[in-house]
Amino acid sequence: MSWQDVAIVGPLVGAILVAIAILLVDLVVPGRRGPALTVALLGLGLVAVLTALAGRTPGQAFGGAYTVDALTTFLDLLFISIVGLTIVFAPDYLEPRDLPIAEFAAVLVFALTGAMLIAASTDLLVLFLGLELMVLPGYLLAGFAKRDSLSTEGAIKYFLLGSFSSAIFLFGLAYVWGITGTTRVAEVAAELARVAAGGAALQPGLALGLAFMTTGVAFKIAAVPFHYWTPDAYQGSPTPITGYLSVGPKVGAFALILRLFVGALGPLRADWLDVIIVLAALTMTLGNLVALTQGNVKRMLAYSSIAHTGYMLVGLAAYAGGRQEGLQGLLYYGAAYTFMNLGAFAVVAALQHRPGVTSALETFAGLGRREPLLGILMTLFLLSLTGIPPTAGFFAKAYVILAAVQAGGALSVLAVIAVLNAAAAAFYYLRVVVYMFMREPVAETEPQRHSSLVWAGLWATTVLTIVLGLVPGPLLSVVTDAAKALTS
Amino acid sequence: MESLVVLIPALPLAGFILTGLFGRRLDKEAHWLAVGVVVVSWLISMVVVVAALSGRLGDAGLSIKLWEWIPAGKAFHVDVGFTVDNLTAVLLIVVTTIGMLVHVYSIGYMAHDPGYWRFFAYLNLFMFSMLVLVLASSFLVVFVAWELVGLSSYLLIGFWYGRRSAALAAKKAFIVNRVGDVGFALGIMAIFVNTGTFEIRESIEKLTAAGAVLTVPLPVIALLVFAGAMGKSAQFPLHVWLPDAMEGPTPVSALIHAATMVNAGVYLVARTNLLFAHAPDAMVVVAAIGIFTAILAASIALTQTDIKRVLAYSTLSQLGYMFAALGVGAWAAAIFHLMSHGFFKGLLFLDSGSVIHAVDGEQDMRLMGGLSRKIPITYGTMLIGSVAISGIPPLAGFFSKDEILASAFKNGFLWVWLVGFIVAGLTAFYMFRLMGLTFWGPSRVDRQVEPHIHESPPVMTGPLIVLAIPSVFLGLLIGFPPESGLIHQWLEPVFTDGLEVLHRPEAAFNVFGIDGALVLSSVLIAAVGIAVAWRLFGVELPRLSREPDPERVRALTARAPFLYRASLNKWWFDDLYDLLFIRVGGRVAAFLWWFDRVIVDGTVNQIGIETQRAGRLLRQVQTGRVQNYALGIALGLLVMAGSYLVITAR
Repeated sequence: MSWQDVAIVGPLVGAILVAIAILLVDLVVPGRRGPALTVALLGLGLVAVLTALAGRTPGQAFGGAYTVDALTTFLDLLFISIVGLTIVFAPDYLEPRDLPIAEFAAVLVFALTGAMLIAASTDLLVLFLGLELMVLPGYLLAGFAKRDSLSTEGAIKYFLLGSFSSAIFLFGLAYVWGITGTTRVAEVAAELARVAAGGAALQPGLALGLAFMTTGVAFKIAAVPFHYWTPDAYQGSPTPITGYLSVGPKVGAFALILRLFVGALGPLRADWLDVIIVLAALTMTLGNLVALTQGNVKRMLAYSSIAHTGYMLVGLAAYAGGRQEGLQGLLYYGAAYTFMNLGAFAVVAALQHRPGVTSALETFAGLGRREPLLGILMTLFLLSLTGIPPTAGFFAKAYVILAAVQAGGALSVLAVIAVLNAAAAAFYYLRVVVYMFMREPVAETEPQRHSSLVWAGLWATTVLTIVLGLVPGPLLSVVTDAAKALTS
Repeated sequence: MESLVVLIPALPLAGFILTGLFGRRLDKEAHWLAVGVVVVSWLISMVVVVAALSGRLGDAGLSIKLWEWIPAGKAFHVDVGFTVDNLTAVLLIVVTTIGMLVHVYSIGYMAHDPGYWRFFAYLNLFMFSMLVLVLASSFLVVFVAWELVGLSSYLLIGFWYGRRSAALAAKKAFIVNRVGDVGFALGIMAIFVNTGTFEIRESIEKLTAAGAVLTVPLPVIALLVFAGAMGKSAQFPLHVWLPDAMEGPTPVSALIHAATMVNAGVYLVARTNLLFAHAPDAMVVVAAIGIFTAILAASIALTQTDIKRVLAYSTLSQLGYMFAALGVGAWAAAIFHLMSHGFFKGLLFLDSGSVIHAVDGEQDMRLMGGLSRKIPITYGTMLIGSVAISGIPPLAGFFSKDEILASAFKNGFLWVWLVGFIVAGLTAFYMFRLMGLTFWGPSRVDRQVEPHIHESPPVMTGPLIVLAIPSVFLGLLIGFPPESGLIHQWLEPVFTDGLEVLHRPEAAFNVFGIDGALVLSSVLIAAVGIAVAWRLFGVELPRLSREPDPERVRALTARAPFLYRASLNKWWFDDLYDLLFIRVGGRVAAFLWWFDRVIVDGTVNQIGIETQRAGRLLRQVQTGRVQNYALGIALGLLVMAGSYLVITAR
């Protein structure tokens, strides 16, 4: 390990140190939210700076297993924002329920290290390591309200099925290793390019490996029909954690897909294209259909997050269909989805500040009059999730769908399905707006007070949702660079 | 310089956001921020205007690209950018100066209104939208600003939304404007289809380039753009919204519905002058609609009794003049009239507001009279405005109006000249009828109100005095000598290409030839109009005094009952539209509603019901048992493996 290696893994090490520091602070001044939050947020800021600095000198460490390029930097910064925003939103919800905040922050930052490892890894085994490092804290978080039986139940299901799918995924990796004889992404890609150039049928072993790996990642991103764990895990978790689970592990798993399917399995993309198309169509449609029938906003957002997975898969399919723009769209979607979805969950969590308030639609009745600002922000996030301009969600959908249209063939059909689904989604998103502004509240409730931390987070997500919708240019050039770094 | 230009609209936007967010807390102090940003914006505009008009920005003006708004491949991308050329500079003078004065005036006028902060927030929003409209370099951005000024106009007309008539007027303005906007939107799309760009200058150059192949003919595009202008500038047959818009607070009428927003259509046609120059037929349409609106509105203004409505119809009529000028190819004259009209009509409206303020909210001139001594500043400035609009030299209106009439005559549009000539007489008449009824003769003010009549506070009279100055001197300053004054030198680079296409003969202004005769005739007809008004409605000037003669008015109206009733009832246009669109249209709409409810909604609802049923069925899969889930995943894996084996076997 040389000094250069240290510089390249600096951000990752930094993140680990931040997690440890939070635990240490909690040891010294137990049970107080201030110091732990300060250390967590300052630490994340430092890690972000380190990431940006490390991103200026792309390079590899550990013999090519760990790579820092434009994609790594983009994804790392996105992960840091996700974790940072979750830490900002959560205390208001956790504190009244006597859930420990410092532990929560530490576990989240540990999950961040996993995600960062995925983003940077260019070795199949390191990828798997990162994946496990990211999802294990996820299981913990799902069961964070350990006295709540629903939370525990969701966590156990999540853990059992998650382990099951991890095993499946690892099995797939083993096949690929067995056939190509290496675990380095670049070497795997070179070997598979040779196989693909031959033009003959793939060995059955390789086909099985593809199937096992596709199933594994489909589970992690909650694509239909491997999504069964989501409603239980999402419903049972404390609301800010649901928000995190619907964004963090999902974007992390997409990072894995980029490194694995685009990086290593790219030469075989003609073979996995059709499967991704079917998965995308199923995921969008079923996610939306079930979301239509939900009377609970948290569950509705959980199912709609499945639908959003489908839209992102459209971007992946467009790439496999030969359009680089698909990758750019996927990355743009990831960023836009992060901010609008975290914002929407933050509003739900803020409403549930007082223990006992449910996330049923009725809770939202009359919100527009009770807390107009909160109502307006929620409307903005929902419009963005629907894909109405000029919000981030519009350009996100526009870019993936445009790429699919340009790719042509079966992908044009997929684009049509995506547009129809977006229209259907408007129904259940706007229903919440109707409740907020046009329904009288069932019972008169006092407006709640929200901490300035929550407001700061809400404003940050709001500004980003609007800015990405008005001035998409800068982010577009960033994701273009990131996509180029991956495929060149 | 570039950052200065960006600041001009950015400041009112910031003012709008801050006043909107914190206005409620500022309450009666809300104006500091709103007025402050507009004053600074005005100062910056003046710097930019001086730079532009002194030629420092070059003939093509300064172009600034702010950001790429919609990047979507090479075929479709829209930039947000500003262009400052001399035309923009002239508009900036009008918009920021009058805007600033109206902001100041509103401090006094709205002082007792509970919606004080809301009013200033809306005014700032309007300023932002209007400034973007004149600065934007792309049709799409112009369109966005076009809709934004429409929105702020809607909000401000309906500012007292508790009054049913105000709410209805706001709705009417919005809906009538939609009709024009559809045309404008279609025009923009046609331009894009033909040229592949939204940039104004680039697209028009491409459209009019020799040998350009167009899928939509040029005259059609020009008329579609003109349709948008007709809506915003309230030209016949879309003129019905402007008189009703007087339901808004008077400063709004002065700023939006006299001096700035209604001029947007004139600006748009002038901006796209090259397009119109290549479509002479479209220009004839523009001239015809303009001059027809001018005489129609002037004839209605003769008999109206509401002081603001007289001014509203007068605005329509003057806008008609401007379009007539645009139609005959006298673009510089149109912009000149836009500028001078902006100042004296803004002044007249603010004066009328001061009058209304003095007589406790009364707007009916039959309940005024004899106010000249009680509110001397208002009276003096309004007299100046009336003389200016009547076209008496050497005030501003004389120079600009006379150029329009002279150009119409010399460019061979005799009919435009003749109608315009009559309108000039009518204008002088109705303005001095207004003066006579309001300020001269015996008082008919309510006994209860009479003792409380008072001059407005300095914050209101100040802007009146300031506006009176350009109403007097603007013509001399930039319009003299006729047809080669400063305004022509400023606008020459903007219109030179279009004029070349038109091949208008260059004849020097000749005082002792045709030009002198035209000037003399229009001054004469204005004088006749004023004299008749004095005879019928009285006058009280030093050494000139005459009592009003109501008997004679009654006798005159009895002699031409049809014309009188036509004018009084606004030529029944509101009734016609009521019949066409409310009654007949209502029937059609009711049928469509039935069709929509039963057939369309029925279908959609059925789809929705089926979809929900499918959703509920799918929910059954969610049993909550982890074994079932694992089995599902295993089955999925089997299907996946099977399909991969099939696919990869090729």
